[in-house]
Amino acid sequence: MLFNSIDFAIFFPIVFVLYWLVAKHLKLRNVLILVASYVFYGWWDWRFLFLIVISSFVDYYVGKKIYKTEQEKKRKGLLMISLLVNLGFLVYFKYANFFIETFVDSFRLFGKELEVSTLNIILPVGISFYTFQTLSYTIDIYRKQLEPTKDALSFFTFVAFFPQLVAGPIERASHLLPQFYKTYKFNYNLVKSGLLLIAFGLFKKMVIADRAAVLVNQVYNNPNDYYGYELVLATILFAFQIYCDFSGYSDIAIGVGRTMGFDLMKNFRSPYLSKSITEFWRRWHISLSTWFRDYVYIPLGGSKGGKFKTYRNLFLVFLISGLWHGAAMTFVIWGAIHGVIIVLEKALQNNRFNIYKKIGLDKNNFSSNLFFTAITFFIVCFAWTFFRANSLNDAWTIIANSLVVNIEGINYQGLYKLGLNIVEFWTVVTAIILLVIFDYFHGKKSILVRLNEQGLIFRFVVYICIVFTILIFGIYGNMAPQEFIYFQF
Amino acid sequence: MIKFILKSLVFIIVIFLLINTSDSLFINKQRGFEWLSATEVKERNKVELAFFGSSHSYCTYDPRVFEDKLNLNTFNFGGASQNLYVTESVIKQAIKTAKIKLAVVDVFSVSLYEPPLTMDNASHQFRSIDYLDLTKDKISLMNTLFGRDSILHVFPTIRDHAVWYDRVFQQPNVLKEKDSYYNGFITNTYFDKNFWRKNVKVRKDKISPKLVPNIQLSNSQKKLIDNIIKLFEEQKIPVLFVSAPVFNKAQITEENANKYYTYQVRLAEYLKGKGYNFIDYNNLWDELNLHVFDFREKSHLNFSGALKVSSHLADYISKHYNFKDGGQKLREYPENVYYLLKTNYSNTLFNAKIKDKKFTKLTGIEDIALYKDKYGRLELIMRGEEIKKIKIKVTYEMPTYQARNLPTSIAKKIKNGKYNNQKELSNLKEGSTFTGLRYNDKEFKIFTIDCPFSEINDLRINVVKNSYSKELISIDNLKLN
Repeated sequence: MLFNSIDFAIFFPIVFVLYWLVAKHLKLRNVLILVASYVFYGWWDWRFLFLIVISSFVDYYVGKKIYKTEQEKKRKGLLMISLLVNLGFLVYFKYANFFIETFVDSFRLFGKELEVSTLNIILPVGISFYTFQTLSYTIDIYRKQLEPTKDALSFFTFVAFFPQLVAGPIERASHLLPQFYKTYKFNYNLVKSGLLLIAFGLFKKMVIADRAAVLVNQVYNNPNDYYGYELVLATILFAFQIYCDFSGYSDIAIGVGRTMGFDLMKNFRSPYLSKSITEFWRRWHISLSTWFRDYVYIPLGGSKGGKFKTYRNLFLVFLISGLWHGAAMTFVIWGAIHGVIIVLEKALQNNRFNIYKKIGLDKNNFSSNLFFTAITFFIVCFAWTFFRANSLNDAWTIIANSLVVNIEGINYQGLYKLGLNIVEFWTVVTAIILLVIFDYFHGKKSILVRLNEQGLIFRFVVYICIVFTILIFGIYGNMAPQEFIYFQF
Repeated sequence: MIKFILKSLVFIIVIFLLINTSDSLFINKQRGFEWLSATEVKERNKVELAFFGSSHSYCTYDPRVFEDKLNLNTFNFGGASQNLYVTESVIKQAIKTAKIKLAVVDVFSVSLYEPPLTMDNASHQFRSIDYLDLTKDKISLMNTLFGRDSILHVFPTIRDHAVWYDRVFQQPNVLKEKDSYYNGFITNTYFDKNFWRKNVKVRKDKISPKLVPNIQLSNSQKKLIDNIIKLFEEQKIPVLFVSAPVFNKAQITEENANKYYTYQVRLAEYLKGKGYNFIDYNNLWDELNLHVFDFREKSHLNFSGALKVSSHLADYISKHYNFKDGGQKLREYPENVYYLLKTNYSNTLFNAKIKDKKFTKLTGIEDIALYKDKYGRLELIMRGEEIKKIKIKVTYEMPTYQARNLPTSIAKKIKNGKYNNQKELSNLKEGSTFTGLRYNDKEFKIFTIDCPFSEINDLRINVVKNSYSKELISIDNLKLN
């Protein structure tokens, strides 16, 4: 079920009302959430529900066993069972064809053609997200950082919790699981702020992301037909498309959770206002970055083994992160670009500060902030080219064609022939400008807090404006609701 | 929790009220007569003779003829491609406010289409649905026609949000040269010349369609007709069923023609069985002297054909229905061209008899009048025994502040604050023996003057025939409001 569908618009109010009717009865409430979560997931394809149930079942019992077992070898063995089951599903459903194709391609390099056909596999929605979430539970128990739950219902609900099931935020058991052990009282302000967050998420998704997608798809699906500013514009719009798409999903997920009293972790903090790629990854998909830090980077040795090992570990994390996003070389290269830049930033950190000092650059003044933000945004956009391109060949074409100077093409005719007419184009541009302003001020003081400081009538008018903006400028209706990009990961 | 529920309810109600209000902005104003009809709510409330049905209805039954002949306020509620499900709702709304003395319902095979509708047909239904009040019945109609998922499409704001710019800044059709309306009837003089050329040799519809035995009215189609009959019976309103003529020779295939014919026969059988009259004008071609030039295209009559059918139907109604106020003093219909012709142009802006005999001989014009149509547009009537091929030249000046935001079709005719347009009135005759419209034994022609202004100066209307030119009208200042 998509958050931006009529199905969810009917589903959520029903669940919300039922939830608060049974909110005092813990078990009943958790049963309701579990059933609602399975309905939510099964709406897409009920056959894949068994994967979630198996993952939940395995990790619940493996977690318990690991906790009870003293022998390190046995503990490791049990952990391996969890890893094999969870990563096994992930590898089979997501990477099997990628590995087959890479295997065939590598033989082709040596002039040998292998006749191996790929498998006809459907990728279960959200498998990368709930697999990581449930894995973190077992690993934390193995590390003795977490006690296993005795409440199977709470655990199954934790794994399948519908607001964040298919596209995160990837929650840790230590944060989310205890929230299923207690009941909540209806908190008017919390529900209100949750609903506002849902509305903001829908605005990002339906007004910006889905509208930008029209131009981006047109250009990126035909890279040979476009040059210069057309490709640059498409790439910049993709940067906002993916941000609004994914952070919009996270906002809705957090908002839905909040209306039911749950606190889900923040996933984005105005990432395009970052002044370095390192900072970008502290602000972008925070739940994934911290997951990789805790469960990949640190186990690899983190920064303990000297400079070289630190750089290697950092690079590897980003390479894997790229592969997590998609089973294609384009994603691997996207991860590698971020890895290289992060390593460079880390390696040149001290030198950079010395240079700033020598040239008298104040890192905190507005113009330097703007400069570093622009540079960071440029690098991020460059990497997005690989992320969005349909193939590696397309990515190279886009980069090469982007360098072609096509200034004379910037005119009324050309600009509006990229898939968006004049009205649609300026609607998306205006919405993006508003979003950037919002992000800038939100970083200083929460807009929700600012809004709550205003009078009732003003707030009422703002709420109505938000709803009408989505109703009129949102992409929905005759155009079927667009899937969220991160569903495919 | 209670505070939240109450506030949410207030919020949702306000949102829906605002959506309902903004709907008028999102209704497709270019689609035609419906929007204009909606501006005639006052007229609708006075309706005594009402026509219901599809585009066949609004292209065939001209309220002006019925007003003139029967002295009854008449309105045509027809809507493009409207099927009987929608017609039923339109009737429900109409009989709520109007004191209808006679209802005429046009039915034919397409109006009997059952859901699911094709996309094209489905979108046409909104042309009528959008003008219905928001009621439980309207929502139930949406559910019947389009299913649960489309119920919110009842709001044009939601349904057509993607074209918000086009809708909000759309100029209504009234300023366009092509279309004109009178109480729901499309009075425009559009003719499809290609259709004429293609079919000119046919002259008469000589096709002999065959009955298809396996085509019968379904139970739901019968139920629909029954529902409509019941609605009128409950209100004690007599109802007459009719079917507008179509140019069957131009039906795409013989199969379609047979299907069409079979439905007409089945409808006649069913309605006769129920004790209701059904006039199928497809059977009255000879009596009406219909020919290809009475059609704008294969499915719809033009101005001329509508006059023939409406005159016949008005006579039929006059013979078969006895209206109590028939002998009362004639009502004033100052925007009705037929009324004006009958009363020798009473209450027009300007009228005159042509005294120049040479001019009358050359052009056939004996008298003229200038009047405002239903939407305040200027129209020129010319009457005579047989009006020849002529050119009309119109010029006027308007205050510059008025000449803003005009549709391109009008703006391009304005230079330096002066409107200048010249048009030949001979298109109707090309390749034919067609001799124009006749009413009360005289031929007449109408020329519509683009004039969306409240005041114009120095209006001059010239008629040109070969090298001869005559200024018919010259008015220094004309207030149009």
